[in-house]
Amino acid sequence: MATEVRNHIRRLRFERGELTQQQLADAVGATRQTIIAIEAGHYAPSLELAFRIARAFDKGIEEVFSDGSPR
Amino acid sequence: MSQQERVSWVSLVVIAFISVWYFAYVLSLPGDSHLFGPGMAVFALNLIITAIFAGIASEVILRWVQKRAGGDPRRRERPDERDRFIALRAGRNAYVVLFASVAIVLGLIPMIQFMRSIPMRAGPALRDTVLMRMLAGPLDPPLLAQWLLLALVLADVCKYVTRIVSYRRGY
Repeated sequence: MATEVRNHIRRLRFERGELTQQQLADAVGATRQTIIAIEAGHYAPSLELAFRIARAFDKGIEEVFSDGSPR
Repeated sequence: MSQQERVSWVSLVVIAFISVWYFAYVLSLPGDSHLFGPGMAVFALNLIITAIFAGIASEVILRWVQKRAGGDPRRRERPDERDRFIALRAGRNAYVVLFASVAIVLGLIPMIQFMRSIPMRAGPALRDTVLMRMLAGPLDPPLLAQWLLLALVLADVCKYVTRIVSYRRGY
């Protein structure tokens, strides 16, 4: 069963003074299109990339990504 | 649109153009013509030269489009993990199509042999072309090669279509 992966990248970019998708992509070694796809929920990143994105925001991975299931 | 998606679009257009040109010429040849004769060599040479020029032209166009989109044309956009996943999925689909196509071609050989054993009257409209020989036999190695070439083209088309769909719909 596929798990929906939600993320707060858009909000975190806003909190970082409107960090652009290109700047985030450069920081984590991905393309801008991949950041767009992750933000829109069209692509679930690998654990490695998810950690790199969380590190770029100085956050823990669970503060950036979460599954869609209720707790 | 990512550079990888643009490359997929251009590759699809080039392969569609070249293969339609090739098969439109070859399939309409008279059935008893020699597929490896001097006429075919001239045609193949024209095709190869056109394919090389199409490759160079598409590279120039891709760089120009990348520049217009605000990117640095000197800096090649390196594929990341999503691009690699999409390429893997496209390759897997292409292999399925290739495997199925080759299986169909192999099944076609005994089927054509069987069909030829049934006495049939060919109508006057049934022209003796390479296409008709491929469908009704006798299926000699050069004709069989056309079927296998078609299988390769289909697999390549499937690869680029999968890539484009994956980039468009998300992966």
